[in-house]
Amino acid sequence: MRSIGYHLKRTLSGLGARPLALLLTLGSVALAFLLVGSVFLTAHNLSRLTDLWGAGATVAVDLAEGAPPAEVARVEQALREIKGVRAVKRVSPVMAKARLMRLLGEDAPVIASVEAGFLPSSLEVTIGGDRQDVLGAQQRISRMSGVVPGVEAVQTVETWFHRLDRLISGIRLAAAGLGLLVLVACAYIIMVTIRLRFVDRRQELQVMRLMGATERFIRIPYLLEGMWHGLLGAALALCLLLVGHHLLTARAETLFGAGVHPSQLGFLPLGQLACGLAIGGLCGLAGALVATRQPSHG
Amino acid sequence: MIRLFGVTKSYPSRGPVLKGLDLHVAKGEYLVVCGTSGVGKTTLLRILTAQESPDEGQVMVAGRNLAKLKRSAIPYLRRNIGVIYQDFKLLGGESVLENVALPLRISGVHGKPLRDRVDGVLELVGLSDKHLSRCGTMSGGEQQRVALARALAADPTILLADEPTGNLDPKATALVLELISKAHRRGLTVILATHDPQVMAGGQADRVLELSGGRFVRDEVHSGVCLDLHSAADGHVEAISLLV
Repeated sequence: MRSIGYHLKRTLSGLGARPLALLLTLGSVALAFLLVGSVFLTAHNLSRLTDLWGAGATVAVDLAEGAPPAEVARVEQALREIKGVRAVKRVSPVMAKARLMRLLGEDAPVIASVEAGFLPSSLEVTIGGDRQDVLGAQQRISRMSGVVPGVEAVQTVETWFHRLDRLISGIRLAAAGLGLLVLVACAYIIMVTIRLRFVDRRQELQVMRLMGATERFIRIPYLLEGMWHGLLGAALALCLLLVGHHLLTARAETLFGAGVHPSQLGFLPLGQLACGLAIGGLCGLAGALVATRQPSHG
Repeated sequence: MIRLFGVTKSYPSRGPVLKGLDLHVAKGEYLVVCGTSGVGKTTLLRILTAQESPDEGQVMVAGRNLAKLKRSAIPYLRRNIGVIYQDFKLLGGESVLENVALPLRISGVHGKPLRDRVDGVLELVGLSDKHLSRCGTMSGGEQQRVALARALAADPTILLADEPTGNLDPKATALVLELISKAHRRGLTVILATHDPQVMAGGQADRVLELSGGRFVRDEVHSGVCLDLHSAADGHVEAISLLV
């Protein structure tokens, strides 16, 4: 373990030996990680926005005409027991007509003379929680239509919500696939860089072997160097992503419309950031392992 | 310390280089192997450091049979052997200190013991004031002294020198030979390969072996006895000269 200082010194001297090659490698790795990070960040924020939008979702459960109060009470109770349901409010035909007239504004007189009874009694269900809770609650409520006594119809935004959910899953899948490709590409770039350095210093390594250096002793600085390449590349990508995120967040309302408030957008969680850095380091280590693997000649 | 039994080595491009060599080098002995270029001196040294394997025969170094040595054990064998070369094989961009410290670091020596040992060997070769000099900027004689210091740093039991004076002027040659003798007097077993008459005539070796045609053809013990091995190989010693 006392030799770790020596290995680190050799690693740092190796990193500084060819600044241009280092910059090119770091730049390539950072760009690759930036690409994947952007896709993940997009998916993350879409998911956040969907959760936020879903939190205030309401579902209207139209009651069958003439449903007895006991039956309505049972429906109300059943709704309250569904996970994600925050509140259930009875809306009488009179209340519904008043709401409709408010919505119509100047055109309200058109329905002013119509009897309140033309609109059904309904239950207004407010759903909250994360996207999965909202989706689950909407599905369960939808299935009540025509099946549960007293429920005539259910009006939800389920389809829209489902599409968004599928889009987010698709983006995440694409990010994972892209990530895998990028990992292989980064490992290859780092492998080539380390291999060039390894070949460049083969005479020095040969001298070390003649003095009794084990392959492990010889490889350690190169493995650490590869790991640093991956780690620094990933860190640089995350820094660029953070800057990009801040710039976009500041212009969120201009770019995405009034529906998106800057406070609704967030950066990747710490766990994912740490994971990204670790993957960068491991990717570099894997590249360096391949680059320095060779039979021990003399 | 070193034993060779019927060692044969050939290369596809050069044909047989060593033909059934037998050799016994005692602990603390100073042996010069001489011969013209391409006669197999370097091959012999490469076999002793396990850089090459003989096609036939057995090699024992420091009690270990190299044929039975696992690949992973070779580095540990080499830590017992200091080697110097005609072209020094120093890390030119590094300082004298870093070059000499390298075998110690490889052997796991760090901190004060490392510094003490480096100081000791640099004093031995007369380069105490050159710790921080870059090897690439030094003269040939100085570089070979650094190489010798490096070879001796990890306290090996054997020193192999492959044409160590090949790139040096007569004055530097004499100094390097004197330093090798100094190391030998401290108990080191030395094998020096050379084609240089100045080295052969240096007179500091216990024994001089001449290699020719893949075989030892002359074995001259420094006490003055010279054995013509051409004849000895046939079972008849025809010429034993007493050198005065």
